[in-house]
Amino acid sequence: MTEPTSIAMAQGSSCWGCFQSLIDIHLNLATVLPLIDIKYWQCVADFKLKDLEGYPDKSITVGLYEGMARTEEDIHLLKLMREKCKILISFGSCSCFGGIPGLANFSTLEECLEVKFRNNKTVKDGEVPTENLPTIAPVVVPNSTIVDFEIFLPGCPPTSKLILTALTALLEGKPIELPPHTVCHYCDREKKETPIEKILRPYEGIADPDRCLLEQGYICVGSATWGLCEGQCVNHGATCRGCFGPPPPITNDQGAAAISMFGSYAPLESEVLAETVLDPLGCFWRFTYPTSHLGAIRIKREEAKTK
Amino acid sequence: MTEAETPRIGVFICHCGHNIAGVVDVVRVAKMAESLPHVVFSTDDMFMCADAGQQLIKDMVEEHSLNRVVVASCSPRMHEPTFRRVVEEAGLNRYLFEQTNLREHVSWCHMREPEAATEKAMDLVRMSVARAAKLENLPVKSVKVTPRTLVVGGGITGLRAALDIANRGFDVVLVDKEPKLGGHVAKWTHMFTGDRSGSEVVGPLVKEVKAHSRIEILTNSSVIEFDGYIGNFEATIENRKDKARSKFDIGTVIVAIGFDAFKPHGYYGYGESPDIVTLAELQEMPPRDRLLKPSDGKPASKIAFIGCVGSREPGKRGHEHCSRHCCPAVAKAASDLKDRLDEVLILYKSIRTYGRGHEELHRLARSKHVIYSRFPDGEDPVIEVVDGKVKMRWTDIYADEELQFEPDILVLASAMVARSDIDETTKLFGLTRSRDGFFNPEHIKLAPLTTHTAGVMIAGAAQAPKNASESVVDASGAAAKAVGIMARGEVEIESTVSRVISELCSSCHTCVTACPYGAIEMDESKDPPIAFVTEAKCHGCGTCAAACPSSAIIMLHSTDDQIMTMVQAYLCAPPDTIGGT
Repeated sequence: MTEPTSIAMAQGSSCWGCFQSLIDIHLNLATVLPLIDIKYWQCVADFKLKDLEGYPDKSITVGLYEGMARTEEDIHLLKLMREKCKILISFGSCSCFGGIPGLANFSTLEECLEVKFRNNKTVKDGEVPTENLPTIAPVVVPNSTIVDFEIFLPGCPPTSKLILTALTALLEGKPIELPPHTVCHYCDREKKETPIEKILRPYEGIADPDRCLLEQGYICVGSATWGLCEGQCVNHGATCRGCFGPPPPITNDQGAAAISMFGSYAPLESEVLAETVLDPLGCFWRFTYPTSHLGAIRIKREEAKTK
Repeated sequence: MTEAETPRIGVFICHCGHNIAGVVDVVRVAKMAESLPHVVFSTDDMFMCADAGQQLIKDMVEEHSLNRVVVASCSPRMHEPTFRRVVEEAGLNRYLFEQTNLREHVSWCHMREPEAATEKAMDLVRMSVARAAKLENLPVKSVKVTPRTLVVGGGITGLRAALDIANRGFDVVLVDKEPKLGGHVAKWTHMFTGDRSGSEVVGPLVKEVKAHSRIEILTNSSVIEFDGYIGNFEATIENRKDKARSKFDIGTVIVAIGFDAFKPHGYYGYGESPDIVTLAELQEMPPRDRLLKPSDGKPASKIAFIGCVGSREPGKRGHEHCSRHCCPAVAKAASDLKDRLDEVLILYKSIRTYGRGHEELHRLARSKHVIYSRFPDGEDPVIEVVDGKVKMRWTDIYADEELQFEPDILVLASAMVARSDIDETTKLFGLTRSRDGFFNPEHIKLAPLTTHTAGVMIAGAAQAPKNASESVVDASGAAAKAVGIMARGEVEIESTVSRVISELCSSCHTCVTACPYGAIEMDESKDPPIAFVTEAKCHGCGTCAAACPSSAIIMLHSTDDQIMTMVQAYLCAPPDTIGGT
């Protein structure tokens, strides 16, 4: 048997869902675990940050970084992972595009602190804590602007199947080959090329289970989203929210692609669109705002304030 | 040329005589262009489109080994074909030519701001040069043309077109939904100019068409399906009676469906008395020695006409236009009738006898003492039907007096409007319509008979109100266009089309919905089906490429890269090339 592959798994600001999804490979863990030598994994293996800091540079073969990096601590961890790992994987949509925490860029840092601490509905006389906490960056920037990654595995979370496919290939030293199709490719619903007459919120009406949700008026961004999920949501009656980000090249602006698709698909008056699409930013850029063109403008603006 | 080859760009700034140079500092623009990346030659010249200008391009391509040519002159609509040919003659692929519009987009619209115009010209040239560096060779493709024309409509326009084409040795399928050929004209008794009736005019044409071995006539029939692209259409034609269908391979099409004579319900008591008729209805009355009142069949002695009924009504969609044929037609009918009736009166807003012989008709009518009385705009004559009698009341502008008249027959010169079923025809042939409801030509001045569907021509009153003579001119013109395409046997099709990268397509159908030309279909032989572009149908508008959510469509010759490069060149110009100071 060959030597186990050394692996480090690190988490920035995120929900731990991606690692949960990794663990969800269940019995396959029995196959994978003997093949790996865990060098660092917060919450799971008993290593401290100083252990990670103590490894020689590039001594770990594979690193997975989950979450985005907004605190000083996150950024330190991310850079450290880059130093220590030969192959660094951007693991999950937060790490690849900013993800849900990237939505914080709709607001200024002060506004975030206001809602979270000072004026939190569940707290009385709230204050922004100052002790023992790392500094928070003024804005969420894409991880890829902090360090380079070898591999991007998006998803919120990446499916267990995808993780297994990717890890197996990696451990066997083979290239990870992922199909480039969007979610529509995997969607079983029938498409009739009908432009949208009316936009429906998810709770409105009862959707025909056999027809394209978008054609029925529900905003589904499946056509602008990498289908590594294999169409789970759309085939179970829910619209695609775009959690896997854009299809390759994943530097595409997913929200811009979705909104321009929507523009030709929903030939409605702009006033009607403005009234019925209540949160276009959150709707089309839910997972990719920091890596989008619009998001980049926002980042520049926030950064300019601090200079 | 290989893609790795370094671009060597030549820039030619055209004065267009005084048109551009009178406003834009062309020398400064040419000088600026010299400093742009990849530019190895830059100059300005009096007329780039003239022989000397064309030769200059060829010489400079040779002398400086140029592999990209930018001409900053007029609109590409004007001279892109010219310059593409020139660079081809100089040995370059035609798609390595880039034209900047410094005339329509700069000098003509910023005539009083020479400084700002010059800056804009520099911006545009900088953008064009940046794009030129990214241009790629594209193949020049052609498709074969089926030597058969489908003529839709067997009125005077369709008949003339069919004959012209057949006489030049090409097959024609002539379709008319009516049981008889001849259209409106065949039914009319007074044709202007000249003294022959409609059936006398169109009769010989019908005879000739029927006798022609190359013309297949399908009356009582409609085109129900139409598919394909220039040179290679397929039309399904259905007999309206027995529902029998036949299919034809077609190379070119002439749509000559004509017009509807407006039925002016709600105007001047139309419908309230049988003695109030439209001009078309008067024309269709059976010819006899005496004009009889439709109501009781007694001879009429007094007749009145009202002009501009349903025409020239500002703000009323489909009725804003002048119907053009009515003034001379009314003059002709009135002067003919004056020989047999006691009194003939014409009420009008204004008289437009613009064509050859029209004014003579107008004068003839007046010389025969046909009474012309002008009513003010906005004060239409009042018509009442009392005890079966038609009573008219109006103000005469020149007498400034209210006048009354009781004609035996009142004739409303009603508008020419678009066919009631024009919508179906529009969709069938992928045409577009203008505000007045009639078909849009490809270009009102430069391409008045062709449409945005290559291979489909329009002629006659289907395009705008026209009289019979004008329609026949159209017919011969459209026939010449059709023959031109068929005589060559094959047509070049633009390579500036969209292309699907099949691995990236995920069959979301967005492009199929977005394409205004029906050029994209799903290739069902693939599983799942993927989008597929019929290049001959593609107009290169780029809508699909913009709409494709997975970036699976490339718009050739306007790739994202080429467009972004232009944006970048505009926004991030090197400091020494920015216009102004």
